[in-house]
Amino acid sequence: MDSDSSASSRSALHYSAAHHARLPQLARAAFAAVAVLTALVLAACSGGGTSSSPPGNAGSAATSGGSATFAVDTPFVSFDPNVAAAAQDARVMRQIYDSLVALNADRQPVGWLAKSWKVSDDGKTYTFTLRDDVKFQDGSKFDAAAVCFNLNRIVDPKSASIYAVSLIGPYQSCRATNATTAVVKLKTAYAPFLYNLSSPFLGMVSPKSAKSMSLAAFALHPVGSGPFKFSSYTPNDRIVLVKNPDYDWAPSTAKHTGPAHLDKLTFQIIPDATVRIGSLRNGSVQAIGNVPENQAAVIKKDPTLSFYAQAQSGSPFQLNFNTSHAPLNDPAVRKAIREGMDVGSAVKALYFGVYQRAWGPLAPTTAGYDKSLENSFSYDPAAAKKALDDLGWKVGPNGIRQKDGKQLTLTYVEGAPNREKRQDIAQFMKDNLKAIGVNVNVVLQQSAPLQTTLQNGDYDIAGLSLVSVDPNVLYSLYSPEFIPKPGRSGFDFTHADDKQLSSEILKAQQESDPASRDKLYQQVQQQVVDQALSVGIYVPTYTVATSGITGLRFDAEGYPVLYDVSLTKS
Amino acid sequence: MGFLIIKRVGLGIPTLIGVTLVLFITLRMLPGDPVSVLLAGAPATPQAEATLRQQFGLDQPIGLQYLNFIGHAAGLDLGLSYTTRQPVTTMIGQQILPTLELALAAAFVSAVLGMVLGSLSAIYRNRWPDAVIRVLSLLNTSMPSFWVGLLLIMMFSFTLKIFPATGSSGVQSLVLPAFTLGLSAAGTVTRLVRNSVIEVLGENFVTALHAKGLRPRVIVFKHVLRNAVIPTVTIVGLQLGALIAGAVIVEAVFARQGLGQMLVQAIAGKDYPVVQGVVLVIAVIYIVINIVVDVSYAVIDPRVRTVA
Repeated sequence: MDSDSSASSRSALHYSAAHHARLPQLARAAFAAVAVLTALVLAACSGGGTSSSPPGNAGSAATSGGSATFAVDTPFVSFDPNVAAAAQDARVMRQIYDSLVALNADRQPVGWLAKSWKVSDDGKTYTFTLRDDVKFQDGSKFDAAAVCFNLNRIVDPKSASIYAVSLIGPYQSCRATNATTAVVKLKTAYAPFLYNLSSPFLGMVSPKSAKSMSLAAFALHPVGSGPFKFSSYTPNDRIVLVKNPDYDWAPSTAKHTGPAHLDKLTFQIIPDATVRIGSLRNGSVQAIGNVPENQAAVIKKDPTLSFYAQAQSGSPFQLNFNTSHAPLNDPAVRKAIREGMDVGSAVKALYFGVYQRAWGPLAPTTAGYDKSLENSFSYDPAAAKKALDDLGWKVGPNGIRQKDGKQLTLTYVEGAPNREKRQDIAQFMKDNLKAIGVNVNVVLQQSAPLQTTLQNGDYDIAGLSLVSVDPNVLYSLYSPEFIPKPGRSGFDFTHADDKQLSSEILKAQQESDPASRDKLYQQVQQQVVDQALSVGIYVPTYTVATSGITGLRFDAEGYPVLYDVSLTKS
Repeated sequence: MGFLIIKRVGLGIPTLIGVTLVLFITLRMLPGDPVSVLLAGAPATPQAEATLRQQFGLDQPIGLQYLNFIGHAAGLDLGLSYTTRQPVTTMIGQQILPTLELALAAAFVSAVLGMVLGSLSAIYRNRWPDAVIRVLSLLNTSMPSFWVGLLLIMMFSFTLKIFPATGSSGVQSLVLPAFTLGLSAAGTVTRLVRNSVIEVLGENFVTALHAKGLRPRVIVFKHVLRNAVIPTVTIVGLQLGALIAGAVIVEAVFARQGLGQMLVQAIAGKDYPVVQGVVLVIAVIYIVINIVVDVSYAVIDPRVRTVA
């Protein structure tokens, strides 16, 4: 909650209180209700969703038992992976649900609930061989029928799945040929399928429990096969998990086997960052998420605290140039604008070294990342000015460039509230571009109206980051079918409609050989940078500080895994 | 008095219809679409969008949507949240008590502080205690509550470790939030009580009491305050509505359960059923408080009964 909006909501309240006594009752009540609503709208500024994270040290002699509390900043929505879509929910679901596969340090799939798998030559049929010793937390057995139940539940319109349904892409059918063999058929080859199966959003729910409860009930009483099982949930306050004593099927990415070390694990919602840090220091919580960047240096220096900064995989925060209309439909103008942006200084100044600078459309922790793009272009305002001069954009009397009587003015849209200081980035870029004679109008909008602006294409520059375990995120970013249209959202903010680019992305999506796939994705990244469709700004990073616990690690998507966590002896 | 209550309740119904109508239309006139917001994190197919729209009833004409809402609300069914898919009545049921608890405790703090400080201010009118109290109450009213809350947490939770910083169970965790919220309201009450007391002090019966030889303090606390209490009841009652809204910020600072956090999330996510439900409930509470305030006049001051 930022100070400005809190202050304005307060003044609205006092305004209403001061005027009541003189108004007739009906008007008084109506006025009060409107004032209350206004105040609340003004106050509607809690932090948005966040992203992901890196490595922790496993304690060699882990102590067993005890309880730990992890403080997060945003209330939970739903713990049903088949339906939910929010990062804060995934942090809890990762502890409750197991996935069919896990991704190792090289981002390659290794067995988890599935022991092994075979992919047909046409890439459309996946045959999974499952572990036969796995039990859900309600005592029912995990088997091939459970896998099919999960996949079918995701595509069932009644579930109205938001995110999981996008992860399984062209899913067609699933058949349990025996208790430990599940055969999954896809409509088309889709290489991301296997990688996506590692996501907490494709964690396996217990069919027995999911069938016995309504969708709404299951969302708040999650039952999986993971190392922690659900104990209680207090909305807007906390969810309490306890150790699953039967757990004995951790993937090879874990640091130990058998049940989790902690007896009890609580996720508590503490929206205010100062209160989160204070609670960590005074010992009432053992871990906090979303550490403000300006506090990172102090926390890193404190020997009683550990600090983790896990870069999120997928697409970093990029500024996308709308190529569908002038002036940014000209690649030469886009390149000049990019040369006029001092991205490195902005990232350093705003994120205190906690967030790294991004260079291309993939984050460095994503498979297929092209490192050669780093430093492949530079900040050069003199060259930018010259390029714009050569293109006929001459500086006018008011210092703004113009050509054929039109000013070089760009509309830059950004969301409110100020997630990850993106509004400050906008201000920074506005000042940078002003120095080369480009006028930038920064338009700040709440997420709902922003969606409409994006759908209508009324912008020149719009930022976006996407969490994804697979480089296939590029498909949503640069394919013509995802160009936003009135009434229809999409992530191709660049309006890129390039046959070569989209066909390469499709080829990569269907390529089952990891090395060839990486090569295709590297070509895509190079094209995005060559054509200056987007400018990478920073890599979103999930920060965690801990005290009195050890063994925290992060999964491939960057969600914290608390299975190996134990209390340190003090 | 019975007639007074019936009349006030009768007036409440058109008020509620007005509030819901304005709210319903405003929510839908604001730019943005709930399904787009919900799907903003996922590359959704057109079918998925259509399924959601149909499930939420957003494919129906707005007039029909409103009639459905009113019809169901009359039967205490406020619909399902778009984001959590939980019944809104259940969600409100789980969160309303902590918010009411906080607002009532804050109203109590503001009433007690306001009465005591206001009276003292009046007794010591234009002398140094009056000046100190007036400056303090101005400060209370002017300081933003998220800042006051953080200061109280730093002092009483992190340094002195007397009260917990967060949580919503038990009286212990209610003290700091109630003071945070109550302090700002106390400033207004203090000024009001001071003025009322000064006014009453100038009346003839007070001169008579002085002539009887009563000590000034006895006169103020036994005789004057009772007469000065009516405007105080009004303002504390009306503040209660504002305090429920103010709880939004305080709930966030102290990580408390409550309607506020729920509403903030719902507004950001365009979760129409939740916003409508919470505002409707707040409006009902507001109307009830108004009725109670009006009735309490009649109890405190018999003259009101004959007028009504």
